[in-house]
Amino acid sequence: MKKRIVLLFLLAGIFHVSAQKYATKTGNLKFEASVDSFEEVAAENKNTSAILDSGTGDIAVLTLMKGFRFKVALMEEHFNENYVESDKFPKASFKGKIEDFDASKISATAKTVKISGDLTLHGKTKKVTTNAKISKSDDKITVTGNFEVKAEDFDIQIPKLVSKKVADKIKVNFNLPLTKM
Amino acid sequence: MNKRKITILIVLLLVSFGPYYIYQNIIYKDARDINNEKSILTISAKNLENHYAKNALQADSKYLNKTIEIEGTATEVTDSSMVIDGKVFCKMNEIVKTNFTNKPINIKGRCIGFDDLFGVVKLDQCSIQQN
Repeated sequence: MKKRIVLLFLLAGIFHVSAQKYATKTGNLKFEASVDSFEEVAAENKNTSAILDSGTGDIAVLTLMKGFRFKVALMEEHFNENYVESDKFPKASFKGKIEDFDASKISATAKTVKISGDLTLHGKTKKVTTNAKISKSDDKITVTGNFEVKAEDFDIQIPKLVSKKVADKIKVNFNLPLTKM
Repeated sequence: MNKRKITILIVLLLVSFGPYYIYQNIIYKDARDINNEKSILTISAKNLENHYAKNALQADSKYLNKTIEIEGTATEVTDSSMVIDGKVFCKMNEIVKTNFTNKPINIKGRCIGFDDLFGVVKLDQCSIQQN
């Protein structure tokens, strides 16, 4: 009986450890849709939130569209008003899972993992699968990587006049330094 | 004759400086400077979060992309950000040298929306209003 209770406590202990959450409010998200020999079309958002459940590998990322900063103010205005319509759709989110995630196996040397899930942007949701690098030092798990999306997949219209200056495929870079909650 | 000269001069000025004006003030206009903008209102961090939690759409129409001032107590402080009363996340413009943890604070910034993951309202380009 005693053994069982001890075992139960041990299990409870394991469960507690594995249900640990890692989070950040200052993740970095960059995208670039530049075309060679035209002006750079790129923006950065330094206030991206993310939560990783180290027990299950579930990952949730949320970014506020107004938080994307461009070098050119007019580009930022067009991005918000005409392209992503950030007044109507103020956020973009990703809900997914790191495949075969095992918190005990990640270390200071970056390991490549596969992440798949749903990306919601401009009111449209699409499945995204990408490779990411994951590493851990002390209480910090860092997830970095990049993937490509198409504006048309999210119902974002690019006017003909500028379509040559904006790339068809948009490259998204993410860097999420997650700390223990 | 004199009138004509003036007209020609005006046209010449428009032709020579017009494109420059468009270039400088429309295509490459300066980004908003939140620090020098007047805030439209002052609100406590709790009230702002409350408003968002109750009706995000309505709150967005009222606060989104606006310059507002937040009052409250700094609960979480890093060198580049601050959380006020656990409800409002402020990304600072400059690195904060003084430690404001658990001190009353007044911050001005641009509201960029509500973060459902943490249940916080986010502001960027923030600056501290008092000394």
